[in-house]
Amino acid sequence: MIWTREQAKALTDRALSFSKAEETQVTLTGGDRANVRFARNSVTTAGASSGYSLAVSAKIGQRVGTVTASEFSDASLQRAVRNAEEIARLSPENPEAMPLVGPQTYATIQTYFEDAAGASPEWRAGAVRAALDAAKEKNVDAAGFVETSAQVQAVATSKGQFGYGRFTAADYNLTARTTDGTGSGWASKSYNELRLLDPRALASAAIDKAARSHSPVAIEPGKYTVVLEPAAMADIIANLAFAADARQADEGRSFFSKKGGGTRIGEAVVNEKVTIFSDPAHPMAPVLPFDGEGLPLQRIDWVSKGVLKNLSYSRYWAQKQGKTATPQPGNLVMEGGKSTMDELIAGVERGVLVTRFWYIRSLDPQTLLVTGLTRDGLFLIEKGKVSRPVKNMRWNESPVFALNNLDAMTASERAVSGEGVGGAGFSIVCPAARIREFTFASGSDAV
Amino acid sequence: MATCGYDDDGVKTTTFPIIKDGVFVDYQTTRDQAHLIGQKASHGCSYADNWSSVPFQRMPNVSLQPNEKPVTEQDIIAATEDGVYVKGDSSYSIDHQRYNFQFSGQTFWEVKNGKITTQLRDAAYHANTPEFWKSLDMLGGKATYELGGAFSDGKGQPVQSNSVSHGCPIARFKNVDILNTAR
Repeated sequence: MIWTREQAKALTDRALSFSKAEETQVTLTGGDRANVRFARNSVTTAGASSGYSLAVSAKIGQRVGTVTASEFSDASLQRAVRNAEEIARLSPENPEAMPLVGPQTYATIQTYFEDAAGASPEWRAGAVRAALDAAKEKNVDAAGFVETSAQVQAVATSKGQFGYGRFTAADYNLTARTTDGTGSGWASKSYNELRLLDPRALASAAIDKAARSHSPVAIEPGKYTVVLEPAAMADIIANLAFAADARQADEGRSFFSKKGGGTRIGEAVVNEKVTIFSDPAHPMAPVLPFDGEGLPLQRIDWVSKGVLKNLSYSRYWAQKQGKTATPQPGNLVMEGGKSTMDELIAGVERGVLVTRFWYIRSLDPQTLLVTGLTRDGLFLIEKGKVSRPVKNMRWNESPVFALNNLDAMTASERAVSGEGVGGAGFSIVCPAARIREFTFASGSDAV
Repeated sequence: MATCGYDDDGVKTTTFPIIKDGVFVDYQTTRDQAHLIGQKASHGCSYADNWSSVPFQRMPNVSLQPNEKPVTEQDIIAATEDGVYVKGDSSYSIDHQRYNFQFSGQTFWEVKNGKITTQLRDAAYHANTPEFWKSLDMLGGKATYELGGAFSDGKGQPVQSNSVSHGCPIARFKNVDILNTAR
């Protein structure tokens, strides 16, 4: 069993009682995790771990020192607290260090589910068996990772703040490759509830995609209409949201900077079909009601019907600008549309269907231009139908331009991106979408 | 930056060539892997990012050896009729089988007739890895060698973050695509 609120509170109280610094924050993280890994159609490793660590941050004036301990005897905790205080005294002053937060009120959100917390080794083995059986039947090689976990996070300060939360996660991802090495498919999902995870469906999606993607042909890079599956869309909205920082905008370093000073809050920045928000209580992506500093999470609208509504304010920047700080969100939700996947494809004269992206990196913060590649299933669409597999390509595109060129969406679902965003700990809900004039820059030989 | 006396299998580390005189000669290995390619000892490339993480095969560092001749930055610029000089690293993205890469830099400079003329903006370069390395035609000497690296190189599943470093002299490559990244 993972630690209860009472156990966590007893530990954080005990650690704080040893503190001699002006202010101290302690953060407990840990829990139980168990996994099975497979490759080349065979289980390779299985493991389970249970462990906790406590980060102690001592603040003396504007100096802060942090030490992490994983042994919780009085002697060990005292050593950690003393070391944190010593490091604080030796550290340069951080002019932006903020006072720690005091008592807070948090919403009650169900993020912990017994079915995932109680997932057995047999369940995990069965989830893998589903993939291995299907892979052998279709003559492809499957490799992947299934993990179930129950985790705890508690944050407490010497100023009286205490937050405790526990959450569960069931994560499953696999890659399937044709034995001739010319085709590859992939699928990945993460849910708080085990009952929502369907290993058979995921395995079937990845394996079917591998079989259909073998022997791809190269097409000319250039501008194409794309149908992005939710895993690819997740990276588009994550790259937009992660850049939505108020300080960068105020300092003129971002796409969200207004010409002549200030931010673009209140301006239409993307297509009016686009609404993106964070909400800790979203039923498809429930997350803990507080962030790492102990601030209570609430719904924040980032983009509503194409208009920029908010940017992220750190506590330091918020007080400097006379604004309210925004807690670090635990999820990102994009509202979907009413089309089916078949309808998205049917509306494409000539374009490509993208399974997932890979290795996305920034090129220009002023336009949010990023580069990345496609991977594990790229298909040509001709006259409204998927016609043939094509070789992977590199793309150079801005999420802002992409979300301006969006013209239809499916309903939203939980998604894990090719870059791993949306897995346990940070949830993403988004649709598949059809986007015009997406810019592919070069071809890739990788399968 | 990422130099170790022993790896996390307890193997004493050594210097070993991966590519020698342009030819691929050896793999990075762990104790579990060396025997698979008929070798009797590991090259000490097993690392975890934490006492509680499982170690797996990854390198602490890989470096490009400098030219034995004392070729200088000035020699390379002077020998370049029409080129772009990239200083410092910035954005980097490469496909999962390491063919197609696109990198940018801290600063880009135009080189014309053996001289740096002006700074360039909004540039990145792109190539296919084997073709790129085959196009290397000038290599700086020891004096141009610098060590760089990162503290947070992500690998594995569940992902582990570890330090990695790379030493390089100045190098010149022919016929590399330069992109304009402005929109």
